[in-house]
Order: sequence, then C-alpha cells, then structure tokens
Amino acid sequence: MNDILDIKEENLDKNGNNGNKNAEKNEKKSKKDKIITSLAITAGVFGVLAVGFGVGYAIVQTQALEYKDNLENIYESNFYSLLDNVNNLDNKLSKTLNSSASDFQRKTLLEASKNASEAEIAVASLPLNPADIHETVKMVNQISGYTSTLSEKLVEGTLSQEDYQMLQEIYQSVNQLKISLNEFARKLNAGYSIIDGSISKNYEASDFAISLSTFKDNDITYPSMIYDGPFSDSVVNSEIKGLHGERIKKSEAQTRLQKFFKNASSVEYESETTGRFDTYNFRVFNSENEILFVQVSQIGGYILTISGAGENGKSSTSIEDAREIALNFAVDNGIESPQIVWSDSIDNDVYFNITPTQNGIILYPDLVKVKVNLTSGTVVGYDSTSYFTNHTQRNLSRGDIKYSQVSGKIPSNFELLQNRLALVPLDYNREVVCIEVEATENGSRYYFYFNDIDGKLENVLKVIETDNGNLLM
Amino acid sequence: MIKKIKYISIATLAMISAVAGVGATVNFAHDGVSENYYVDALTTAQTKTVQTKLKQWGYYKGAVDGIFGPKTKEAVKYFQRKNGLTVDGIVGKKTAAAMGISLSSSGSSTTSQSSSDLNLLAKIVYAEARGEPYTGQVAIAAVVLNRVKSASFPNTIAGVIYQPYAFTAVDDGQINLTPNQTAYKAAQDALNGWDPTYGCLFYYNPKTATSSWIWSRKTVVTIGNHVFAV
Repeated sequence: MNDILDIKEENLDKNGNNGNKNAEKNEKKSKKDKIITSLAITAGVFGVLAVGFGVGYAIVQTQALEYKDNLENIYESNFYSLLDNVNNLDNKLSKTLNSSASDFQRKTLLEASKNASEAEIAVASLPLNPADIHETVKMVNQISGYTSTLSEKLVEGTLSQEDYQMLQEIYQSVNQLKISLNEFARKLNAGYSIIDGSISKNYEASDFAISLSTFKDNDITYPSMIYDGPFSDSVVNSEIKGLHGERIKKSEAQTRLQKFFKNASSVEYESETTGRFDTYNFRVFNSENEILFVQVSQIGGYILTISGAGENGKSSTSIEDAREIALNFAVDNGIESPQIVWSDSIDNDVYFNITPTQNGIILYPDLVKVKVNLTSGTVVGYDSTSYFTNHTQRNLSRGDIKYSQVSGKIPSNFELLQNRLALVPLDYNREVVCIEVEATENGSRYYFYFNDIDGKLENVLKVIETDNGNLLM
Repeated sequence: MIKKIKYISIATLAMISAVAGVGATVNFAHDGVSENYYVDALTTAQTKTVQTKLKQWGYYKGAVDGIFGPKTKEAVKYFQRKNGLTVDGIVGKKTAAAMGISLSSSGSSTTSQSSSDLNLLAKIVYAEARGEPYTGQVAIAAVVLNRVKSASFPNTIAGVIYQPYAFTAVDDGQINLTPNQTAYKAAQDALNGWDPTYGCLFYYNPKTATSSWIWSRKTVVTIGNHVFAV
C-alpha cells in the first residue's frame, strides 16, 4: 500500500514535473507566437506603407510627367512660333529689298516689324538663360523698331542708299538665325526635348541656346542700329546736357548735405556710383523712422536722387504746405523757375512733378519729381536726372498759332478746361513747342498737344486712373 | 502586445501624416496671393459719389463730373473742417467713413484700370529684396523697368519678370508671397520714375552669385547686399 502510495507520489511528482516543463514549453511557444505576430503586423504595416508610398509616388510621378509634357508642349509651341516669325521676317525683308515700290515696301516693312516683335515674345519665353539669348532678343527688338521707323519714313519719302545697306546687313543676320533655327527644328522633330536639353545647372549654354545665339561666336556681324525710333542705340547713349561744374570731393559733398539737411541727426557716406552719372551716395538720418538714401553728382555737387520710404502715421502737413515744401526744395537745388504741373497722392505721400519754365513755356523734357511725406512734412523722394540729362538754355521761338485756331479741332463733345504753352518731347529725339489743351469727356481727362508753328495735332494723352491714384490737380 | 500595436500604429500615423505632408507641400506651391491691401483709390465713379454727397449736404456747388478738381478738394476740406477730421483735402478711409461711403476698389467703377503692373512689381521686389534697405528695393523694381525699356529684354513688365531663369525668386515660387507695404511703396516709386541705379539691367549678390557671366558686367553701384550692373 505504501508502495502504491509511493508510486503514486512518484507519479504525481513525475506528473508535477511534467506539468512544469509543459508550462515552460507553452510559455516559449506563446512568446514565439507573439514575436511572430508582432513581426507579421510590423511587416504588414510596412508592406501597406510601402504599397501606399509606391502608389503615392506613382501618382505624383504621373502628375509630374503630365506637367512636364504640358510644359514641353508650351515651349515647343513657342519655338515653332519663333521659327514661323523668323521665316516670315526673312521673307518680308527679302521682298522689301527686291522691290522699289514705296507702297509695297511700306506694307512689307510693317509686316516685318510685327514678325520681329512676335519673335521677341517667343524667344524670351523659352527656358534659356537670359545671358545666352540677350543678343538675339536685342536683335529682333531693334529690327522691329527699325523696320517700323522705315515704314513711317516711306509715308512721305523713299529709302536712302544707307537704308538699303542697313536692311541688307539685317537680312543677312536674320538669314543666319533662320538657318540655325531650322536646323534645330529638324532635331526637335527627331525627338529632342527642350526641357531635358535646355536646363543646365552650371549656367552653361545648352546646344539649344547656342542655336539661338548665333551672334556670340562673331561668325556674322550684327549691325549697330541708329535710327529715331524705339530701341535705337542712339537713344540709349544720349549725352548728358545739364550737368556742369567742377568735380567735387566726397568730403565736400558730405558738407553740402549737412548744410542742406539741417535737422538731420547724421549724414553718413555709403558708396559711390560710377556709370551714366557718377555720384557719391549718403545715408541721411532725418529721424528715427526716416532714413534717406541721397545721391550727389560728383560733377557740380547737385542732389540727383533721394529715396526713402516715408513715415506712416497721421498727416500733419496739408497739401498746400507740401506744395511749398516741394517747390522750395527744387529752387534750393538749382531748378530754374519751377512750376508744379502734376501731383498725385498715394497713401501718406504726395508726388509732385515739377518743371522749369523758360519765357513762361513749360519744359516737360526737364521734369523733376519730388515726393513729400505728409506725416513728417519732409522731402523723402527726389529725382532730377531728367533735368540734368536734358536741361540747357534752348532757343525757343514762338510760332504764330493761337489757341482760338486749334481749340476748334477738338471734338465738340469735349469740355475744354485750360491751355498753356509747353515744350514736349516727341519721337525720341525731337522737342516741339505745343499748345497744351486740357479737356474732359464723359468723366475722362485728356491733354491735346498742337504744334505751335503749324497747328498740327502732335499727340493726345489720356489720364489713366488706376486702383491706387488720387488725382489732385 | 497591445502596447506594441499602439507604438506601431503611432509610428504608422506619423508616417502617413508625413506622406500627407509631402502631398500638401506640392499642393501649396500653387497658392495664389490674396489681395488684402491697397484701398486708397479714388476712381471717377468714386469721385462722383463724393461730389454727390457733398452737394447734397451743401458743401459743394460745382458739377458732378467725376473729376477731383480744386473745387471738389475745397469742398472736401470744408467737410473735413466741419467734421473734426484732418484737413488735407484727401478722401481717405476716415473721411470716406464720415461721408458714409465705401472706398473699396471692387465693383463701383468702370473706368478704373487694375494695378497689375504695380502688384507684379511689388511681388518681385518683396520676393527678391525684402531684407534689403528701401533704396535697394526701389532699385530692384527700377531694374525690371529698365529691362522693359531695353532692347535686350522683353517689352512688358510681366514679360521681364516671368522670363525663364531671369529671377531666382520667380523660379522657386517666392514670387507668390504677399508683398508688404514697403515693397508696394518701392514699386510705386520706381513706376514714378525713380532709379537709383541710373539704368542698370542686372544685379547680383556677390556672396551667392554662381554665374561667371554676371561678374563680367560693368558694376555701377552697390546698394545693400546687391551689386547693380549694366
């Protein structure tokens, strides 16, 4: 019995032992399971994420490709528009050269001008570094200006030998560009991508850019075009007539400014400008909130420009006072018999256009601009570069035309306001004394300019009101 | 186990939101600029409204013609004096409010032209030079206008600003930031003819400029961080 019991106990013991081992096994198994499960879940999540990423990427990629294709199409359309216009320009120039009938030439020159102008828009919208194509843009712009000037000349005259020679030279340049562009068109036709081929990270000209900038390698010479019209080289390089006197030192300029801006806390030298005008540049500390950048001409020591933002705040100065401030400032800077011809108020600043007068005639080419801030009551902007570029003692002879002779030429639906004599710049290099007549029609304001010698209508200006302008005069 | 799943789901959420974030950035690149600034306009129609009001109240005796002439200005001053406003003859927000009229530029006028040139210029100024001194900002706008006049560049403000690779701030989308008031003032000054660079066509920051070509241009003036050249 005891034995049996013993055995039972042994069994029990054995069983007990067996039970412990089983539990361990079970525990290990469940741990393994847990790890597997969590791994599976992790893998699953990553899998889902990966698929998500993949799908997302594919969508973004497809969209990007679609955008790229659209852009490529726009660029190619612009290229073909350029090609068409250059082909037509070449054709029109050759027709002009091979004809002697003024009427026909006038027509072909006008068309050439339009082709050149459209070629400019097309070439400038291509994805190329502006540095690589600026000669080409300049050429088509100038051709457009030159051909339209010639066509105007043909209204009353004929082309001179020099005109033919210039046209011949232009034709050769255009022909060269045409050949180069047509070669490129064949490449494009064979599958070249403008986007892939033109975007260069190192600012190196792509072969596409090179095909457009035929003038870089100086294979052909591109003529310097001087004519009385837009974009002419002569307009860019016009001489400075109004700046006289000794070249002054930096310290002299500083002393002058200190005297001029008596209330400024300090006048600090900043830099120098060397170019069309040589200037010393200073910073004038008018007040805590008002710092002006002032440029003084090295010749003569005149204030050429002032720029400052002006304070924002309550206006403490009336428009009348601002007018006085502006006029006094002009007088102090050597502007002869200044008169305010226009003013415009924007926010807290009033802009005055001031002209000198000679024998009572307003000199528009010598316009001076003054900006007065109504909070501080000081001049925060000034520009006399036109004055110093153009001002000279002119021989202004009065014509015989009287106001009563020209006022009838204005349509009767206009209400005539005031009239005065003014020297007006016309056609880039020409100045003409005109009778200026101010008139209104249906709420819009116009200025008519009649030549003082023959009464011819030279120009009509319309005052365009914008969303931010506050006409005062 | 539950904890682990929690961690994993947090990680998943973070990742998904990261993915969503990428998507969002792509979309935001197309956001336009909201026009919440610039209301100080007085168009012909608005002037007519002002004149009508002033006439009704006996401040103005002239014609309701939409032209802000000396008589209208005097009438506005008279109105301002009587109503305890700053007497400057300008119909600003306060004077307009006192007259009971709205000056918001939308709607009323048919003759007014939009200031898209000014807005575009202000955008390029802000995008390219918002950290620069005021004159440096005027100079950027002046360069754009000089390019419009130059034969070597497109002939419109939009053409110049959007010419490919002409301005880095246009290429990278900063052009679509909303300009501040200083940028508007600088753009306005340049439109009115101010040009502290005297005809410059190029500018660059000598610390960051990578193009060797740009260094070959003739330097005219340095304003702030920018070198201006022809």
